[in-house]
Amino acid sequence: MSDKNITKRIITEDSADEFDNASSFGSASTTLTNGQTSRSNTPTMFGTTGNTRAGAGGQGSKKTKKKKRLSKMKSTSGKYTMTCMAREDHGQPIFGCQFNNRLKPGEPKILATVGSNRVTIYECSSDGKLKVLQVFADPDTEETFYCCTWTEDGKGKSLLAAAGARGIIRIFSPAEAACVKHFLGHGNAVNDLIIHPSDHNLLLSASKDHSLRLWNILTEYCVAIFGGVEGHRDEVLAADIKITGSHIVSCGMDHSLKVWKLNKPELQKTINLSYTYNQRATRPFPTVKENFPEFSTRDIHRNYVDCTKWHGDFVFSKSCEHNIVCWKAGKTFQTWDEVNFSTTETTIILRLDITDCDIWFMRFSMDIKQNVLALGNVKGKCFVYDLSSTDPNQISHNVLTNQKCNAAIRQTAFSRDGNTLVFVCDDATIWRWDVTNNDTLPEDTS
Amino acid sequence: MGGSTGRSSRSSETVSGNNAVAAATRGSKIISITKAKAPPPVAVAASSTLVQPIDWKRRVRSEYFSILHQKRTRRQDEAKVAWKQNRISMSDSLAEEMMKWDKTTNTIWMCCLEVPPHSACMKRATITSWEMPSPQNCPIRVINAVTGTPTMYTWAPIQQNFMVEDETVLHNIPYMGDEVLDQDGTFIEELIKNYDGKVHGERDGDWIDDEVLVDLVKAMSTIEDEEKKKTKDRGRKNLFSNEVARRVKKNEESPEDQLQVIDVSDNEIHTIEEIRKEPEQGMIITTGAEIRTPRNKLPSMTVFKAISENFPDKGSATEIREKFIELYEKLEPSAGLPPECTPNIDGPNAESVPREQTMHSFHTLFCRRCFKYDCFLHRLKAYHPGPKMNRRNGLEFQPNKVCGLDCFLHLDEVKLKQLAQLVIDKDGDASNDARIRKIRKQVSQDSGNEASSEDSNDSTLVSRKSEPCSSGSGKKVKCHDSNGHNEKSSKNERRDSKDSTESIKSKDLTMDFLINSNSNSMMMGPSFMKEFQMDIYQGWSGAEQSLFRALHKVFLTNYCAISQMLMSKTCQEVYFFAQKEAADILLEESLKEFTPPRKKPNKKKNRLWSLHCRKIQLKRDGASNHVYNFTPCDHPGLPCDQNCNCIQAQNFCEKFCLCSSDCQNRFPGCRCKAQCNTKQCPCYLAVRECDPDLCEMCGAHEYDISKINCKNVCVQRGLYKHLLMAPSDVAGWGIFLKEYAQKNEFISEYCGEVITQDEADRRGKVYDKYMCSFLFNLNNDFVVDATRKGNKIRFANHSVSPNCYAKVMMVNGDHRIGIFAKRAIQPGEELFFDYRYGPTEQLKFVGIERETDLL
Repeated sequence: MSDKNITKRIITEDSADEFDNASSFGSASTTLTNGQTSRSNTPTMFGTTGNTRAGAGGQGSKKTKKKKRLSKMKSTSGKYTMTCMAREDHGQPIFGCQFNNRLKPGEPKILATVGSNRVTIYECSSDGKLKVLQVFADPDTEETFYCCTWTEDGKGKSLLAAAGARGIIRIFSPAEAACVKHFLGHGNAVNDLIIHPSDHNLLLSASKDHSLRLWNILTEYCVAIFGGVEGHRDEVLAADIKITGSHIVSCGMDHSLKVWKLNKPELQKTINLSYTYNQRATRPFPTVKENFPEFSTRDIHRNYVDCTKWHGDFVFSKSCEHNIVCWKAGKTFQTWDEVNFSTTETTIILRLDITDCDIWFMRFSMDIKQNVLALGNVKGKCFVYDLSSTDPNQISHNVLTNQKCNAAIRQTAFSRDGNTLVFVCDDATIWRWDVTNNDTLPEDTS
Repeated sequence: MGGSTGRSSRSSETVSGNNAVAAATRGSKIISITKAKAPPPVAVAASSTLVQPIDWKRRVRSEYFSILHQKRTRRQDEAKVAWKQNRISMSDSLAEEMMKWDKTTNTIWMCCLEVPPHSACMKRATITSWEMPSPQNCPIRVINAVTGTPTMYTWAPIQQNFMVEDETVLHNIPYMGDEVLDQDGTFIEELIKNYDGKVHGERDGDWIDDEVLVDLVKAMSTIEDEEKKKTKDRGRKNLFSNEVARRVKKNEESPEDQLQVIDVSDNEIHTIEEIRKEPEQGMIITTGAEIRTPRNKLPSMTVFKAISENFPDKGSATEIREKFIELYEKLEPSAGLPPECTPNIDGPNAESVPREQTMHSFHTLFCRRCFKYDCFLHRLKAYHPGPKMNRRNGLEFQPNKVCGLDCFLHLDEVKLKQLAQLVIDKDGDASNDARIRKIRKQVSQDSGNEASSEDSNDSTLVSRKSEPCSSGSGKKVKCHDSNGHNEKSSKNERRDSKDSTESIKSKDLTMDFLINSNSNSMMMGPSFMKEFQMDIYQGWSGAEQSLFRALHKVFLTNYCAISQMLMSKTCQEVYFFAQKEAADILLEESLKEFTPPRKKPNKKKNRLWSLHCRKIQLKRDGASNHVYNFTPCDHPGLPCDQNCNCIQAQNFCEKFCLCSSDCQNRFPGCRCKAQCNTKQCPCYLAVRECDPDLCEMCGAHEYDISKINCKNVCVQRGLYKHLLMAPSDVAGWGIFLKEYAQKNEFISEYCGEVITQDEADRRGKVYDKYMCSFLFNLNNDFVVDATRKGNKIRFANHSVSPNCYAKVMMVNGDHRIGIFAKRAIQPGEELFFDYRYGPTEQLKFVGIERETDLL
């Protein structure tokens, strides 16, 4: 690289420092216990995307193997206490974990994990243990499951959807202990699965083939494909559906976040049609091909965006740049309906800094009340942010650490009551943390 | 940061950063008003304090940080409020959702824990944990195997090539698995080098974003103004107060300025205070008008240069300046739409506007090569020939026949004028009719070169209409003996068949309407007409007036035709209106512009044909496989010689060129009576599809596909075969033929994004790594890339003994890739063609040479 470029970079970092310093001023109270500032670690483009990236493809484990000295951090903080850990025997990274939050109150806490070609179902028993209930394996050893999500069949039985490297979406029925359905269609790996918040039959899948698909898992039709002309230009890594069911947000390797309208009349019509369409019809189901998102931005992140979640009208998203950004489209006080979608204007509400989180496919999660957000880092530390604060500049956080937990945390999950937090790591381990009191919120550390 | 941060710190908490900056400029304007009342001795004193030239770079930097600081404070305050609002609304909807959930859910946990009978021979999963003394065991249930589908990335289907711009910044670093990165660590570096080190995100997009830039320039402009004033004032202290007074007056005149004054009145006190502390601030006299129209009053280049020095990645000083002007117009709501935009010219609220405005969208957005608005293929300006203004055929521009009893030709003044015209006309043709026929004949000869004439679309349709009009009844549509006319109209129908059928329908309506309206006006008699004449403008709506002006240029004095187009005015009304309008198009002059009838055209054509045969021979002998993209030539007043871009690129001039229609470099088309699928056909030989405007004998011009004899029009007519997509017998996806295809029969066009060779090189680097490329050389300038957009034929696989071949053809001025059958292909066969693997570059498509070069 020429000298010119180097100087440019120096200037950039220098000024970015000044900028960051102030913009994250509010979250100064969140300065981390080990005294490291994320800023000094902010990698250049070459640093992050060029080299230090661990893959979702299972190869990541080799790359991120670091048998480092045990961290000297204080073991726990706040009200979460580690209650249990488990190690699956395949030794491969566990990429996803999800609580079954669709069960009636009073039902057990059921957890599913996916990794390698395995799908495992656990019960988080009240005595603080992880009890294995069922283990499924794909006969194809090429398969690596990346994601899973829970749904139900509407008749009182739970269903688990899981998908991965081969792009085949599998629907498991724990009651029958079998894979009851599968969906073919994606041209490459599936990176994320989301169930529609109000219609348990609608499953959204985000794929490496640059598109998202909406499925009706009851009637087995592909309702819509989101992608194409103005769609994602690289792998779609994650997506989320707004609680009202009106919008989808998706993010991917192309640094972009796109918002797709789900409550369009045409789409709603097709969704309804997917319930009534004649299975023996001569013409294939008229899948909607949505080539144009409602809104698209590349201004929030400058690297792969690997996780995104709705938070009311706001969106939380993270990329492998050591922070989570909460933003909204348009000006600060515009609602989604008021935003003029010919613009790409965005407003950043807050940034949450995190250390050592520069590899991609690291997902955060929020509890059902959206009061707590948990994200793990490469070194096995889990950051729990308290979002219930009234001032976005005063968001406090806890760091959950354990001496033996030092592999990259791929995903976190909260149980429905918010009392149990589980995260899964690259070394095939599952860690269960429970709130010691009945209070679901972590304590303010500041 | 010094002074400027001081300023912001004084601004109250609720004042947003943006407003605070605005207040500095706008507020000072108020000061100027107050000053006008009492000329300030303070300011004059201050001007002498600072004499040294200021360090612009430093000023820019400090100003920049002060703006950032203000913005940040404002953002944080706003974010706080928005966050609260969002939390409240969200928790409401969440609570509702939870309530609903608690009530409706009936899902209970059911889990089959039954141990399968064959569990003894099942593989077991072991889960270990420290808490448990012994590891847990669970039999692994192996699920059913499912065969996946081959890999495919999402692509958008298109049936026509689509031009896209170059991407000079790497969109994102592609991820190809860690193995690739491990094996070839230099790949990413090389890739970035291709983009001159530019990657999205690296060139920092948001720490000087658009808004900051505008604010920064504004602030600097103020500072500069104040500096200027200082130097100026030393010489002209007395003039100063006068000028202020004048400017204040100007402000008062403009209502918008006053609005602004009200806008910032909240900050007034604050700014006055500021002025007192920093006397030089009071010197800023930036009227609203100056700021609003940055074109008139921009800060000098010194400022932009200083900004550019601070932010080298934002481009040069001039670039920043341009960017600012653009942004300014966008950000300021008062800037509004540019005046040249097409206003509302329909409906009751239509405006009466000049022709240029009415036609603005047409002139700027209409593609004269594709006959549609905003075409995707000829996006670059260079591909859009302008209208051909110098050569128009005078077919309908003469009022020829009386259109009815009430025709304006019956008016005495018109008759007199016509008589005078006839005397001047030394043509000897006493009969008007004969003359027109003659002109028409001429039209038929150069109809092939019609495409670029401005009114080529409308005139043909109207020519059909105007004729029945002259016969007085709308029902009988006379057919002209002229070939060209039919051909032209068929061309039109083809290009916009929907429109033309509609217009035919509307034509009938028009006729009925006209007959009615004519009889109406007949009944009303001449007195009505006189009354009408009195206030002729009143009877005309804005839409009619605008439409008249647009039509007048085309039809000149043929008021009968204009009235037909207007549909709501008789030709007499149109005539009177035209007189009132005092149109500046002089009849005689415009008539002279028409090309005189060429003599002995047949001979000329023969000569051209032999010439072109020679040329083709020459081209083939040249044996160069460099084929350049066609760009219409435009060199007014000069013949197509060595300086013509068509000749330089070794291309023929096409009908889109602005050169004369008898240009020596034009391709004259074929005269085959056969199918144009042998080398006997000059079009086929030149690897061109038959041009419907040139080749008449083979039927290429026929609208109805069943009437076309010619086999050399498949690409332009889209006569592709039905293709089926399925997993290939060889690799990945494949494409299969549903129906039978003969040897050399057209299968499909290879469509995709048209990108430059440079862009193809950059994209190709990534595609090669992915081992999957859809690049296809189109010519020396462009490549077709079917990766993101394409059609099904993109799935055809490579083979060394293929059943298809590709051929780049010139189709009505565009190069397009046709895939043809190399031999007879049976239904259900998978299609292959030769990708031309290079021995060195294993997976790179190389260009498909033109078929002529293969022969």
